[in-house]
Amino acid sequence: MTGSAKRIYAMILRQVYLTRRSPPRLISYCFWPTMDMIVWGFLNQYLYQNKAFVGFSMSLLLGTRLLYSLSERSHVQIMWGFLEDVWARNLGNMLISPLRPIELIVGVILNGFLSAAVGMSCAYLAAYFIFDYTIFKLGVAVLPMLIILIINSWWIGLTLITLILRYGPSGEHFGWMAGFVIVPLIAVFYPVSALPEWLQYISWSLPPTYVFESLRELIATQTLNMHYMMVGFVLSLVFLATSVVNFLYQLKKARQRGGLFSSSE
Amino acid sequence: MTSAAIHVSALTKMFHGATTPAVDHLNFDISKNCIVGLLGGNGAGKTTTLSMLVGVLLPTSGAIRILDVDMLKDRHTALARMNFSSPYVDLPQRLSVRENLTIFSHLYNVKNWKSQMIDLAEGLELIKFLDRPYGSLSAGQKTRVLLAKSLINKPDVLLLDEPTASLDPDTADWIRSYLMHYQKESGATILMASHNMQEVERMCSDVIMMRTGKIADRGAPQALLAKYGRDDLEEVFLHIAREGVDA
Repeated sequence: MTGSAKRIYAMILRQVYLTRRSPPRLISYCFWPTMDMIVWGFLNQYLYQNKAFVGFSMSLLLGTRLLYSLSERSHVQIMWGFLEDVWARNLGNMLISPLRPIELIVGVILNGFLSAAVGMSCAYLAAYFIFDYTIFKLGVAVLPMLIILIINSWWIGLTLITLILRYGPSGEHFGWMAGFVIVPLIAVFYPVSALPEWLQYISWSLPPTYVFESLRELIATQTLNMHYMMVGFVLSLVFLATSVVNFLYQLKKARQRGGLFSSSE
Repeated sequence: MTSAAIHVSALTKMFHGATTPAVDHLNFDISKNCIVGLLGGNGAGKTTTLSMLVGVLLPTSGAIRILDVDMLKDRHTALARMNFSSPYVDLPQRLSVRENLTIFSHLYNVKNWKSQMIDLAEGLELIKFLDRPYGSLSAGQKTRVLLAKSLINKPDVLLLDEPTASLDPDTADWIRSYLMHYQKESGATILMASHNMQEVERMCSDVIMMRTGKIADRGAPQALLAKYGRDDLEEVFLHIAREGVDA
C-alpha cells in the first residue's frame, strides 16, 4: 500500500473503529433511511390502493425516495465524520500528520459513502421484504442514476464541511438544513414543471434534477433519457470540482485565520 | 542546505483585526540533537510560533525550514518526520488506546507499526491500558497516550506545547525523564513551550525567551542566570516578562 493509500485507509479504519465501539451509531445508520422507507411505503400503498392519485406507482414514489435517501444520508455522513474529529479535538492531530488535504477529502467521502451504503442496504431490505419492492426492477438504468446521486452527495458533503471550516462547528446547522433546501428544487416528488418558472431555472442547474426527471420518464416509458444522464453526470463533476477547490481555499483561509486547533469550541 | 533542524527567519504573524503582530520578525535556528525551551508569558507568541512551525497556521510573512524542507511549500514531507503534542488537541474518547495508535501509525506510514506500538506502550507503561477506551483514562494516563501518539513515527523533530501541564509532580517528572531519555537515544530535536521553569532548567540546553511576539533573549539556562544575576530561571522569566530585557 502506498503512503497515500495507507493514510486514506487510516481514516476509514477510524470510522470502522468508531462504529464498532458504538452500537447506537450503527443503529442510526440504518434507522433513518429504513424508517423513511417504511413511512413512504405505507403512504404509497394507501394512495395506490385507494386510487387517490392517478399515475402514482410504487416504483415512482419509493424509487425516488430510495434514491434521494442515498444522496441525503451520504452527505450527512460525510459531514458527521468530519464533525467527529472537530468535536473530539482530533482535527489538529490530523492536520499536523502527513495527511494531505486531498487525502482528507477522499477519506471523508469514502467514510460517508460506506456509512450511507450500510443505511441504504437496510432501507433496501425493508422495501423488499415489506413492500416487495426493489428498485433494480427498473434494470441497469438505475446504475447511472446511482452514480450521479453518489457524486452529488460528495459535493454537498464537501460543501457542508467547508461551511464548518468557515463558521466553526455551528456550521453543522447548514448540514441539517441542506436536505430541506434542496428537496423542493430537485424534483424528487413532483416534476420540474410543477415549479414556478423562475425556480425551474435553478432546478435544472442542479444535477439530481436530471436523475429524478429521468426516473419518472423511465417508469412511464421504460426508456432511459441518456441526454439527461449525460448532463446530470457532467454537472455533478463540475459541482464536485468546485466544492474541492472551495474546500482547499477555505482550508487555506482557516490556516491564515488560525483556530484550527481550537475549532471544537 | 542548513545543518539546523529548525530554521526560522523573519517569521511574522499578524491576525486579522489585530493592531500588533502576535509574532514579530522572529529569527532563530535550532540545531539537531538538542532540547530547546520556548518561554514566555501568556500572549507572548509561543503557541502561535509552534502552530506556524507545524503548518496549521500560515505566517503573514517569513520563512520556516524544518529538516531542510520549506514548510510553506512542502510541509507534508517534513511532517512525516515530525510530531506535535499540545493541550489544544486530543484523541477520540471512545476509541481504545490501541485503536488510536493504530490509526496514527497508518497516518504516519510507520513500518513495523505493531512492534513500534508495543515498544512505546511498554516504555510509557501503557500496556494494560491498550484496550481501554482513551476517554476512560486519567489525565496522567492520557498524557502518556498523547506522548505515545507523538512518538509513534520516531520523530526527528518533536514540538511540545506544555507537555506536563495539569499533571501531578510525580507524573510530570516521569514524563520529563522519558522525554530526555527519548531525545538521548534518538538524537531528535525537541522544541518545547513551557511555563514550568524547573522543567526547562532541567531539560533544556538552550532557552528562547519570548515577549510580545519577539525574542527577548536566548541562551543556556546557566548563562541566562549569570547574565541577569538571578538564582533561578523563574526570576529571569519574571524579570523579562515584567520589565523587558533592557530594564
